[in-house]
Amino acid sequence: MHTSFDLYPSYFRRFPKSVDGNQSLRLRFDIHAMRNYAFYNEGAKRTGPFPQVRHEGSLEIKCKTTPTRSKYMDVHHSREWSTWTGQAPSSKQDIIAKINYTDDATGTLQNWEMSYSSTPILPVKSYKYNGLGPMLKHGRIKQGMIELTASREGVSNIQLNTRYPVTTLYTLIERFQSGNAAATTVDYLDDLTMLRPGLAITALPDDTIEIEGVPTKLHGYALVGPAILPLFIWMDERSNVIAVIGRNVAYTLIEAENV
Amino acid sequence: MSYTKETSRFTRRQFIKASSALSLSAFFTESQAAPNAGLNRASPDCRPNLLFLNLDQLSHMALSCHGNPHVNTPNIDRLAKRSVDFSRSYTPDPICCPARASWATGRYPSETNVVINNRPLRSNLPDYGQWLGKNGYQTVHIGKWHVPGRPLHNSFQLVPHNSHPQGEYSDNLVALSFETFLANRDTARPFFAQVGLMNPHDCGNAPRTSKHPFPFPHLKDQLPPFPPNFDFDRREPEQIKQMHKGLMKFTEEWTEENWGHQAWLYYRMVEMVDVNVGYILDTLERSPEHENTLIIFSSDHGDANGHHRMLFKDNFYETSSRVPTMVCFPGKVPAGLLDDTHLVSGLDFFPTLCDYAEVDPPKDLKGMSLRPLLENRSTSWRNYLHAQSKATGRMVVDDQYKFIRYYGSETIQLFDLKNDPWETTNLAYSNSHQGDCNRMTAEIDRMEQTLDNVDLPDALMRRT
Repeated sequence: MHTSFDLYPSYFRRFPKSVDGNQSLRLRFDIHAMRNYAFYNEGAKRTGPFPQVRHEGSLEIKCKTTPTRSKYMDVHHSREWSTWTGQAPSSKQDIIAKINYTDDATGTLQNWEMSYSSTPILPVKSYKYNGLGPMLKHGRIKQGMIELTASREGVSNIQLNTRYPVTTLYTLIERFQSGNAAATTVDYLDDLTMLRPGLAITALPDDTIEIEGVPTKLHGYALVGPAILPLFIWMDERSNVIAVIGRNVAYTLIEAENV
Repeated sequence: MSYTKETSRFTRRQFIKASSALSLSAFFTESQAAPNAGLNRASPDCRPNLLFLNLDQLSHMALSCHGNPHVNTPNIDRLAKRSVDFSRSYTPDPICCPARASWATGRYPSETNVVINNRPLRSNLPDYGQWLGKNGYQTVHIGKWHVPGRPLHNSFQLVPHNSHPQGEYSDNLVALSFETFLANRDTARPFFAQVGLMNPHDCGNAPRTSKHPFPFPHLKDQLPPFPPNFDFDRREPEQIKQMHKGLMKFTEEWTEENWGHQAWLYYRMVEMVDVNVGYILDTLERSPEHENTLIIFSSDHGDANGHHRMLFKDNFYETSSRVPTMVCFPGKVPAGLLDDTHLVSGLDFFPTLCDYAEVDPPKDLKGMSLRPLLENRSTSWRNYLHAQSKATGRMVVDDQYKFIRYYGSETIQLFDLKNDPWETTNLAYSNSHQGDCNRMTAEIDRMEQTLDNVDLPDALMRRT
């Protein structure tokens, strides 16, 4: 079994029906996150196994086909966390994005709009709530340069040089789902803002694991290089991206459908 | 301890020498303001913004600007070039909660009650969020806090982002939340922002992976070899021997590839958070706040990362207890100055923040303001730096030696940091160093007499 599976296979789901990745589609992932230290409840009583995996958010991608080589998707990426095991989430961060990208092997970004907001949702009555945002940002690739513009006064453009096609988790997932991705070198714009340049998409040996009681052959790729923990992307026989696995987080596919 | 001697920046000695012959302005790259440009005390609006940007588990040696060939940290290197980089900086305690409680209160762990993780902070000690908030600052916390017993909203006026999960999937968001704060903040007041990034703390989870063969054969040449102190002097205090014993449960069978895999992952986590540091610096540098913001950059502790065949923290070896500390203030603080002379502690941050905020610090802080050092003013500085660990451990460092003692253990350690920077030979049992051991023992005893220590349970004082 591949090292990336050691915590997460129980969260994988089977998808017996095919989803046409070249048509408009909707993908929804649960985020399962690993904690290695906060396994106490509010009374400081140790609970649960170690290491501990929690459900800590979701990712939804809606892709629309267009008659051109330009593609479009809506993204809602939500991460929410608890301070204590078993407690209601105490902090939530949302990225909502509209992305135009290219119908190529890496889902190269063209331009995008994103909204970021942070919401503390502490359950203790005496706490105040101080949400931030939403902060709106616009991005585009122009002459090999990423330009990020915040719409609020006081924060001006950030420009980042690139060398390779600029991709991101969302468009890469869609490219793998549609069977159009390929091993190559990319500049990775993590959360549409943090540039991790010069990463390699490399093929992994096939593996077979049991998903919901059924042996399932998986083929995969890794995103690996400087400034990132390797990110493993695993697909089933129908090219469904059933999991994207880092070292402390796994995105597991729970819904896939043509819309 | 650095991999190579730093040569690209000025040392303090060079700085002093140059300042007598040249215009000091040559050392201030961000503006032409004089180093001692006064802050207008009559107008609180003129006081500087204060950004305390902290990482988790970053060793001093784990940066490319400190000569490490296995990691590339262009953004922290950029900060170093704009800062005074204190290369002899130590954490007050090489584990999260005690170090962070000491940052926040300026007191030693034996005084704060947070002598190990998850013990609550003594309630009657003010913290820097409270103190600066009372004195006219807009205070905000984003990211990791981890000071038990002190709810964030008792310390900071704004807590828009309060979580500390693994850095792999949260540090991007901490950087974005800081950007959002900056765009929305109350510009009528200066701010004090504590921004806590998590990585490279995720290495706590890496041994799960490192026990497997490295999955990328084409990258095997990137795996770091055994560190130079992989073989070392085994005369260690019982408390550290116990840590080795615990680690052996999963490292006993490790090959050089497994150790290299672990170190490789650690350095990727350092690079990962370096991108987030860069984003925060870019955001600040492109804002109107930039010229009037003091940045203190540090880490709560380091990581053993295979040195002395150890992983993680909670020990006094350099990889775990020595941390980067950089202070940047455009035009007010020299840029690119390497201070390898003064012994600096995380206890010094609270008094430094108060000094720049022009407010009197709470009484009995144990640290010292770094401002005289930053502004090249003559000052008397400490000859000994103290740190604590595991409730019972005490470390004292002077200009050459490090002495370590744990109550309940008969084994002590003395290392000559000048001649043995990798701490491979314990000199405590050498006849010629008994005088140094006695001198440093007396220094620990002297320091203990000055502390307002809490009573700790016997079980804690006995624990190994």
